[in-house]
Amino acid sequence: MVKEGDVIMDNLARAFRTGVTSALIGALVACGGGGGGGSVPPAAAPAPAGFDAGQFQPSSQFKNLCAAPRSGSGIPDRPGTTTDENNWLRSWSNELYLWYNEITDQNPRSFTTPDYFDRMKTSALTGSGSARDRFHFTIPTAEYEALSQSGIEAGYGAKFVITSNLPPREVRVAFISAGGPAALAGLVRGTRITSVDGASVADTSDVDTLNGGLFPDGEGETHGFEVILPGETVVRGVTLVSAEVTVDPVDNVKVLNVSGSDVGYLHFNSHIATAEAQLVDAFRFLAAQNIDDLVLDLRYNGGGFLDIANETAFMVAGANARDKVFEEIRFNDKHPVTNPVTGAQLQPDRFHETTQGFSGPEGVLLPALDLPRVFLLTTARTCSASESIINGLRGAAVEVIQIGDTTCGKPFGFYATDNCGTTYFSIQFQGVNALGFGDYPDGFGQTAGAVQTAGCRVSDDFSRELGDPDERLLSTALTWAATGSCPVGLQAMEDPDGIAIDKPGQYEARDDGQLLVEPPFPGAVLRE
Amino acid sequence: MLVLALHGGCQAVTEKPVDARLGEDDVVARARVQTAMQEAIGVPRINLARDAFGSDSLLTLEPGAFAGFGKPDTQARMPGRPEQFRLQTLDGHCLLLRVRTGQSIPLVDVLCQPVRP
Repeated sequence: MVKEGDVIMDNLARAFRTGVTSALIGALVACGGGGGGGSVPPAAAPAPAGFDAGQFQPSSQFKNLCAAPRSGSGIPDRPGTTTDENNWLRSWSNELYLWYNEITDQNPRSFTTPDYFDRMKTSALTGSGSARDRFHFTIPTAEYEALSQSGIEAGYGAKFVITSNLPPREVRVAFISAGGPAALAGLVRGTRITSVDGASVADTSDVDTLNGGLFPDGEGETHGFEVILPGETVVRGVTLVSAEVTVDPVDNVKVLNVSGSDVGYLHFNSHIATAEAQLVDAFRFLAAQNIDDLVLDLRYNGGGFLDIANETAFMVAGANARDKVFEEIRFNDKHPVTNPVTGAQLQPDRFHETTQGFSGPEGVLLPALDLPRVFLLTTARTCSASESIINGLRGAAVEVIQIGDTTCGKPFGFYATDNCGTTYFSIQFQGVNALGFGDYPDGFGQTAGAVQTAGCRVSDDFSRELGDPDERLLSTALTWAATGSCPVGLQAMEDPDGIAIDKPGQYEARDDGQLLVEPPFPGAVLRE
Repeated sequence: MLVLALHGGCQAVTEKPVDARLGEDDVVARARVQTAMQEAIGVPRINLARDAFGSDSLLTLEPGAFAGFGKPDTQARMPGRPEQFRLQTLDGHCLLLRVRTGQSIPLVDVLCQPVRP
């Protein structure tokens, strides 16, 4: 039997991991504090009855009061009702949701809990007409709690990107890890996946089959695929067996000589913990090469740890960022001084000049390129922490030249919070740079509504490997580095649906002649 | 740092744990370490590499990704630090240090070898 003290420590442990310390402390207070074994839930505290619009009880009063309480050691659930769960959502959202005052206050007795959570968000739109809050979701806690060793996953050693999320869907191979099952089966960047275990990628209603095959849960799973290699039309059958694969968040580091200048290239695809050591190695190499410019390829980087974004930005800018603010997190106006989740005092994060200990020793001086400008390769999958790099560098007056498509537009974040077996994700803070700017819900780029950046809008080029100087995004960056402008003949325009179309010219050639459509919500994509 | 009392001479010596690793094929030890980590942080499942702690004494854990059609992005903008454990050995005993808290967890029936610097 687990003692209550152990339960508390376990919960606090998880709280630290997910960052919900104060929420859990609140929960623990609500749980009472003494006596009792962990397997016998204490009696529920009486919850206030009735609904008084605009009046909110502390969320701790409803925490862990569950319509269907779970049992087992370490489970804090107590018997409650759906209304209790909804009341917790209502109060918690009122306390922490970034736009709490834009929530329409509705009677928690009138809705199921999933429906009620859906209503706990703003209905405001961005400048381009998109929903401002596109990042409001839940995950079963049992699924969310599973942890993995950083950099290790069960898969095929292939990064799949969903280039069209709705029928007709399209899935492509973005890049391949050498020696993995996908590489051994002959898959290469740009390969189109047309079916998974007999289900048509384009139009099946059975997305579970697609997800199960593309993103296996464990090793040793065998799945059948039909694929079309770049430049071909023939459909091939391929069988892949999932294996333990090592993810390299940083790869393909090289120096290209362009018109007498040395231009570094670095593909950085995820802000996971193992990225820190790999980034340090990569930037050490680039610093030793004394490069003139850097192309940082973030096109598939959906984010991750903000501290790693901070370190990356410093390694680009070096002396240009020293002692400057990288980012400051702001909560709603109820919490101007203290982080309401961790209890820490809010203060700006300056650019890190030393390692933070994510995948190596802490406190080691970071290498730095001291560049006054950087080229960033982006798509709509460039999101969150990757956008922090853009915003942080711009705030430090480092010139950012953006090549590719508009980023996803996510200056927001949250602390995942559990209640009654569901983990809730609700926007709680916004990151702003040294200039106090963080308003980019339509992303950075050259499209309407986006924060306008210098650069060229071009679509992803699956016909060439990443790092190939002729690959469209890299080629465009190299042209700008040499000439100071987009390549001749390249202009982007928009069709009525807002899909980027390259004008005819040197960039019209595509491996399959099709336009690629970025998913409206890149967060729905991919394993990192 | 642990202070070990020596039974024989009423003296105390201060020893410092040193970083350690597991044997390459020690599946049982790896499973025990996995269980200890799960219990320490209160999660039902931790996925480890087959050679976890085989060459590096530091191991970092991250939330799993949720990939696929219709799946949300949970990792996109993460404040804070990941959970980390360091495998150590002291006086022939294997320990698991939870880096965030400094908690040192004795590992019973687990053999580990010091990592040579």
